[in-house]
Amino acid sequence: MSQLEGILRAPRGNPATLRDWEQFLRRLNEQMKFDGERAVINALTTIASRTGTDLETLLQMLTDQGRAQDQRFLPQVSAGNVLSLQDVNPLIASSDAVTATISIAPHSLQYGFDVISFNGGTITGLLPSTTYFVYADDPDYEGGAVSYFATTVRTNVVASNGRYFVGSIETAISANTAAIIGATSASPIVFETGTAHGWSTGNEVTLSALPGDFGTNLNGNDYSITVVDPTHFSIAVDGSAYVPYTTGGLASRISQDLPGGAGGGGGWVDNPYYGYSPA
Amino acid sequence: MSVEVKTRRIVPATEHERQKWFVLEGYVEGVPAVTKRTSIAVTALVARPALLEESRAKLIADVTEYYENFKLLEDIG
Repeated sequence: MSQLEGILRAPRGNPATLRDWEQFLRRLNEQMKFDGERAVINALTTIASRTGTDLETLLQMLTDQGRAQDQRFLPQVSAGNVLSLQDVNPLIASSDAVTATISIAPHSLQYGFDVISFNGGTITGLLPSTTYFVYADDPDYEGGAVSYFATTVRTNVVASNGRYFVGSIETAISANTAAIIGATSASPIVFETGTAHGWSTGNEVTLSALPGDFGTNLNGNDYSITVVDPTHFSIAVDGSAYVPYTTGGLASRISQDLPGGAGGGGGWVDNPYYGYSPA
Repeated sequence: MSVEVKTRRIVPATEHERQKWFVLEGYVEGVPAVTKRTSIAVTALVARPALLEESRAKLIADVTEYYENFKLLEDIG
């Protein structure tokens, strides 16, 4: 109450009766309602500019420990320009032939007032090769098992009070497989696929089930490809001595799991952005 | 080490998220530390209904693994 002494006339002695308390609270309520310039919350902000609400509502937003539960009450200054830090980078993304999945590892978030621990989770049914922003709603700082969601619209991350930004991540390319229906005995070797492969130059594929010399020399190996057109790609291998291609073969694009980017208030503690190296 | 992992649907708090996500929670009674949730994009479920059962099976496997690790740590402690 020391912050409010300048604007309140404290009752003589401690309020002893219900009538004393009623009088004291009525006076306090009047002051906080009508003196928006001077009634101070957390020594930084006025009621009029930040909340525009009454005492009863304000008191409901405080826990037994006096911690403000609503994000509007958090001071805008913070230690080291961040409000929180994760203990690890919790995000990793993978893709199968059709959809992508983001896995969130169990982790903790260090705030000024406490450490909040979150259980792991997954988000699935996402698009491959897409940047997502991952968040969870935890307005009461409870941690534990939360529902993680992903959005491609960054502003959604701050579209609700009490929302925790877990981090951003680009999902991996899809690990789809194309049937081979033709190959040239040339350098480089050009393969033809039965349907449009949808790949890009620089992608890596694993070749399998190829016939003859193609199979003997290439099956089970990974190659970086150069896309010729939607149904043709080449690999930098001299196949001019191979017996002509007959039939069969598969090319499977390799999809590698990808790590995520900074989340929380300032990412994770060993994020190179902060120049911190764990011992 | 056998454990009964249960699953249940969690309804997201906002209408926006209810429309976009189907959330499953895997849990073991009495062990909240191993609870895990999977959010499945509704659009993907519509296009690929099998995704629900695949996700549920993966969730149960993950929670089982969490539980086994949890019990190992508990035994050490």
